[in-house]
Amino acid sequence: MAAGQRNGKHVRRALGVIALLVCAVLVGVVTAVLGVRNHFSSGGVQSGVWATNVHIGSTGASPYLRAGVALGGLLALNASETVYYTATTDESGAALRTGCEYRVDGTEPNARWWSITAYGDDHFLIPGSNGRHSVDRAAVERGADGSFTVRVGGAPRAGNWISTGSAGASQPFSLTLRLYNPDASIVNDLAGTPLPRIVREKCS
Amino acid sequence: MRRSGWGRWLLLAVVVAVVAHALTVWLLPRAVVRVATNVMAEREGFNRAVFPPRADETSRTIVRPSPDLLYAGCAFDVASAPVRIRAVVPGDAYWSLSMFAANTDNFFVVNDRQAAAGTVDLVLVAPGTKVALPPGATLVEAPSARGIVLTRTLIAREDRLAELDEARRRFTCAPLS
Repeated sequence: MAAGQRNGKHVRRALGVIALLVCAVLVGVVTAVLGVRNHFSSGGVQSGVWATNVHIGSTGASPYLRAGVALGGLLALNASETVYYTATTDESGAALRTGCEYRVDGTEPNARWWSITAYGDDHFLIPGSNGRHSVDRAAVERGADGSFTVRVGGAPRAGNWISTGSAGASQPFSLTLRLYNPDASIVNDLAGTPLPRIVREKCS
Repeated sequence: MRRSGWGRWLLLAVVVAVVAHALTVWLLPRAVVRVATNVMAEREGFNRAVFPPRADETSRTIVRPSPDLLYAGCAFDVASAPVRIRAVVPGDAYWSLSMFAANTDNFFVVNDRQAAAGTVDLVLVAPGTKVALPPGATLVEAPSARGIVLTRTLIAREDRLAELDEARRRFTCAPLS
């Protein structure tokens, strides 16, 4: 075999090894980012459509949860101070979308203060909401039995209503239920805490 | 048995992928907190209080801000000196002061019910630092040299906004003199 042919073979082999290692790095990075995108994926609990994790903000959080918190809940308080439940689907399991209207039916959570806030897929408040991003304990209108219904999305309306932005392309969104100074019964049973139901009414 | 040439490289690729995965998971929170800390410090510098406007759809620095709260913050750096943090607790509205390490951990929190005196006076230090505490101040050890202090004030009623904002702005964060 001529020296030139041997050198060419070595060069091709070296390039192949480099490409293989670059691919390996990419696979490692991409699988890591996908793995932490849902910050409840590590030891999280579910109550109905609402997900949370008792280790959010805690010094006992796993590396995956810390990374998930960094992406989707930076500066979150620990569970003894605040419990954060997030819903990305309705009761049927379909993803929440800005082009649909929902009814959120609930009863007073056993916490000092609470709020329900809508966030876009980028984890920020949704543009075009004209300040109607949330409903909270102080402002919510309740029925005689203490229960409440909050409408989410659709045309602007008075009372218990959260906007999901102006009309346009239907995008995924999420709702976060914050429970400040929750009762110990909630912290001790995050999965068993009764939480509002999210029912889709119609989609445009 | 001798492993084939490409077999060795494939094994190495698997090891590299696992290391890249683990490094990404470990680095991600630290990188995000570092960016957030630097953005906060850009306004006033480290160990200085900042008072961002009420969160709305134009707030794009920290994810999932609450529009029902007023925030005050401080990017702390205790590497060279302790930092004194003081705040006034507004009456009858939820309030908390929390501290976050470089890896996102919420390593300290105090709320309005726990701060019964109506004020909070803390000295934040690097682990193991000896410091003469001012009278009435409480020592807090930070697990990382840099991080973030954040106060949350609930806007219980819109007509109390000005009063609550005035209390929020009495938050201070400065090197211990």
